[in-house]
Amino acid sequence: MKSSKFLLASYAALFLLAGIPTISVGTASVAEATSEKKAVGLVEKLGQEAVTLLSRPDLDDHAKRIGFKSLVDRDFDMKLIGRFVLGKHWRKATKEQQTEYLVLFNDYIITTYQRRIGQYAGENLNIVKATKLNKKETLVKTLIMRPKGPSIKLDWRVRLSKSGEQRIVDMIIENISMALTHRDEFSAVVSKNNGDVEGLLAKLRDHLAKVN
Amino acid sequence: MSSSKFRSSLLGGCLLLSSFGLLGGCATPPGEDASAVVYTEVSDPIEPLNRYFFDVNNAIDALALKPVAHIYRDALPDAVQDSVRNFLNNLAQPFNFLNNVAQGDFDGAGDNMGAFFTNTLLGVGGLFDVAQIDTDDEDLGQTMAVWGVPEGPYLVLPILGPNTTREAVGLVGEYFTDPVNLIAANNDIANVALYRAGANAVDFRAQSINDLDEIEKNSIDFYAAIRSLYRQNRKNLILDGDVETTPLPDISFDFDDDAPKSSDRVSLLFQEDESSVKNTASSSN
Repeated sequence: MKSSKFLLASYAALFLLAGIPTISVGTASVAEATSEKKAVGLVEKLGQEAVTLLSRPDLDDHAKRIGFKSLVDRDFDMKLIGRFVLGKHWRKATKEQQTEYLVLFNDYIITTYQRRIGQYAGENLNIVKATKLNKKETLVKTLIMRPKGPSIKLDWRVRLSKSGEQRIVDMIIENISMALTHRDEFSAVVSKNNGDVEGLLAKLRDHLAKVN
Repeated sequence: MSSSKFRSSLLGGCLLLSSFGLLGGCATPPGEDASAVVYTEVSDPIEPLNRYFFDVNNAIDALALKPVAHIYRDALPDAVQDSVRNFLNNLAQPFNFLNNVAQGDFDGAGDNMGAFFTNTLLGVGGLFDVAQIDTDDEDLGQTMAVWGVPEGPYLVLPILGPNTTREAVGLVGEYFTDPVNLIAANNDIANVALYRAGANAVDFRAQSINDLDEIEKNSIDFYAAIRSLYRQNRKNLILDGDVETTPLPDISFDFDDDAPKSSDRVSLLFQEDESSVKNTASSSN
């Protein structure tokens, strides 16, 4: 009970993209401003395409993974998220380490979130509203409506990237930020290796080899 | 007889409480303003010990709690499990009420009272959720947070699991202030708090079997992942899930135009990196 929200959140955290089967836009308060409209459009489109991808019976797991990866690469600012997750250790890493890290991080995210794709059919994503956070960022608030049990709050943090496109930089589930959770985890691994990023890279390589 | 026993254990509890308070006091620098909770770097000075108890707890879980939760989840009909959860939640309402009053959240307190009386009287002692009022879970740790008590270092307690120092103090206090436990103690009904805790644990574990398995499988540091989820979730509970006060603007992705404000906020971890490459936006801010 006390922990049930925590559970919900961590539960939802793992299935973010998986849990978006159908989309319906809430009627009342869609934002007027264009950047907010665009952000809503982005989330909506991503959701719809994820549905289409998941419900295709002709694709095997491998093909779905490739499709999923291209959706993530298109709509998420993976480089920015990756750097946020590495935090203060980014600057200590060499150029080669940074490059390898970004590749591994991308792989890790795809693997982690794609794992359960397809298991969460029958849930709706309702867009509640979009709020401007600052001149670059918009928060798109959505609710995952579940057939059984309470709905789950899911906020998308959308940011204007350097190339001038809107990209998702964080997903916040029941006020739990996924970027922050990964950041805490990754920096714990770096710290355990006496602040050496190499230790994290080895751990990631290991982990990916095991689960893939 | 039980009341004198209660008094002596109360004294012990207070001693324990004050020693915890001491521990928390020296290890945390800033006070925490509950209305503007800021995500700071994790404070985990006794991490090796915490990791040890985390492993111990996982072993106990695998041996004792998880199998029971499995049987509970798979063998009992959903309706029965729902009733168990309703009953446990209803028992928690008087304590939620007290905490909401102490936090000044009178709307929340009213909801707690309404749900408790409706479900107790019309819902067969709380087995059925007739009221259908969505109440937030409250506890002493949250109340202390609202009062400005700092979070304190992270703490993994044997059997009880993840906590911060403040929540651990709250747990001890809860044992002695929860109305249901007090009434049971005054009527010489033994071990009610223990049974409730056990039932809550099984109920929670049964709901979370798949999710915790997934988190463990996907994480490169299970301990750190749980620590992060726990702390963020506590902040969310303290704010009662209030959308407008989401602590997120402090997690800034603006590494190209944010100036460092204090040494341990998340927001500054990026600056300088790209300032050489790009500084058009920074001048206007």
